[in-house]
Amino acid sequence: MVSTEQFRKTFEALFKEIGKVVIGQREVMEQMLIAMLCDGNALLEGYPGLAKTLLVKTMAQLMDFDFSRIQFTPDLMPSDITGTYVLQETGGRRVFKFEQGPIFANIILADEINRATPKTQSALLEAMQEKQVTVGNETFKLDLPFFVLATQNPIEQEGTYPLPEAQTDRFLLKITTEYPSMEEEKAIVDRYAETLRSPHLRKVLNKSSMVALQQYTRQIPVSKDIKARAVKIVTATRKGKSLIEYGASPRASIGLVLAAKARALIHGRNHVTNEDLNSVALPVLRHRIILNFEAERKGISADEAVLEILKQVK
Amino acid sequence: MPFRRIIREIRFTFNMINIFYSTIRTIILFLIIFLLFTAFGIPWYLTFIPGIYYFFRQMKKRSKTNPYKEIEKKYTVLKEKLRAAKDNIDEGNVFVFDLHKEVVAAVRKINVSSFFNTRRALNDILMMAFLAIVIIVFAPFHVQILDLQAMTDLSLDLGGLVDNIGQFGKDKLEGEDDEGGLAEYNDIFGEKSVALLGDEDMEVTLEAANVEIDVNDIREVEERTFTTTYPEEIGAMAASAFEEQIPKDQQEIVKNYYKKIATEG
Repeated sequence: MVSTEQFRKTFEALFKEIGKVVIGQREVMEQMLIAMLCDGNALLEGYPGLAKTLLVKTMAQLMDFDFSRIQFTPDLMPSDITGTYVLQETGGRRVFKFEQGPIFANIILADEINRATPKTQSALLEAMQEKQVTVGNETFKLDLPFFVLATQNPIEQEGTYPLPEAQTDRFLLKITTEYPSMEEEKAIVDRYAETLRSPHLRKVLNKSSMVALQQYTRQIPVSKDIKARAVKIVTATRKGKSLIEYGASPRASIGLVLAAKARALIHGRNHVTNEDLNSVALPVLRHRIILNFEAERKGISADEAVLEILKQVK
Repeated sequence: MPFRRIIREIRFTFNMINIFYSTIRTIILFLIIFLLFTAFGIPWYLTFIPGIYYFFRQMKKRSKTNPYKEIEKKYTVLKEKLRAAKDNIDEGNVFVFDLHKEVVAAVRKINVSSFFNTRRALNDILMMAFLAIVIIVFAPFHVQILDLQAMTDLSLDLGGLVDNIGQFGKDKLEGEDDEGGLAEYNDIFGEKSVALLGDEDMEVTLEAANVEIDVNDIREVEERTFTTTYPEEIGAMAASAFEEQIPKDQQEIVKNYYKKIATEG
């Protein structure tokens, strides 16, 4: 019988392996893993050069996942993502054969998703939701586990197509990457300015173990009080009109409890605590609320508004 | 299953603690109200009404507290675990089994006495003893600040008088006869409540009148005329003497019999 301690050791080993490549960013790693364990998707927002792509690539490598990176540009077409039918000549006959696009992988890094047109964005979002792709009259199931990590650049917003609220709601988490500390940055310089050799990484998980972990995540017991608090937090975003214009949907309540379960599993606990809830509240809610004019005038961020709610809902 | 038994034990223990504290508090309140009621001349048995009400109120209030939360507060090792385990009692997976096992091990180390506030219980018991002594000491002196019961009776009497006056005025308005002070009653037999007494004893006490005798003020006896209030409807139509209808010879026999006994005896 597996124990929570075994789970904790597995995740610690995973973080240790990632640490060989990426310095710092422990919270980002944890949140990405939470999104994977919840069978969800994540929006990653951060300035360029913060090892977002490297982190995702490393995770894919450690989990033995197929990895695809799609650079979103205004001229990217949906078929560039999903794949298309191409005419092939086999044995003197010409037939249409489906050529799979980069979406047919386990981890998709959709770089700068807001640069593509809404039509292309929606092609990706459909795959995220349904875990399948429809081209022409045919539907193709995607390989599980399927995880999309879309990045957005908070600067250079001109000529972009920001994701509408209904689409951002489909992302379980919005993960923000911060600049490393001085010590971490020194370590980054030491590691990458002196050697070209990439470190040897040990595979920690595989596709089937990830699917099993996703099932285990849902089994973590939660007390009624914590569930009630999660719902209260989400409903508070809809009721409190002092800072928030539009609050989070019930999908956020599900996401909040599920993400808290995943965090508990990562930390080797057999139950969800309020600390788990508080910890995942920011990435779960920050992209699901729209601040009102008053909050924007005062320079209050979505994170500050969520923290205010967390203080109120005990 | 041990976890279910532990949950039952927790509930039972907390119920017992609640009953204990509620009872002690109720007794204190009962004694205070008893003292007040006695001092103000209110029947003591009425003390049970606020006492019982307070007991149920206390029980209701205490039953709202979550015993599992209380345990988690005292024993941080069980923080958020006990409630999670209890809320998922029917689930059967690796995490729930693990959690139940952990909780059972931790709960076994709990001392029930830690939820029993000894200082508070001692204070309450001392207060109870003090009040009981006060009652015992003052009981022989019949200390009474105010006789509210007597005042209530008086006010009731006054109420009756007011009613009678009201009735009198009403009768006047309706043009009824006012003769010999009987007009206030509807029949000649007086008040119904007195008539209904039947064979029951009626306790009548004469209240001492506030009369002062002034020996210096001696006057001639005044001749007073009394008017009867005896109902006119009751009266003799004609006077007649009772006469036994026994034949003369029989009367003689009886007479002779007694004479004979007297002479022979």
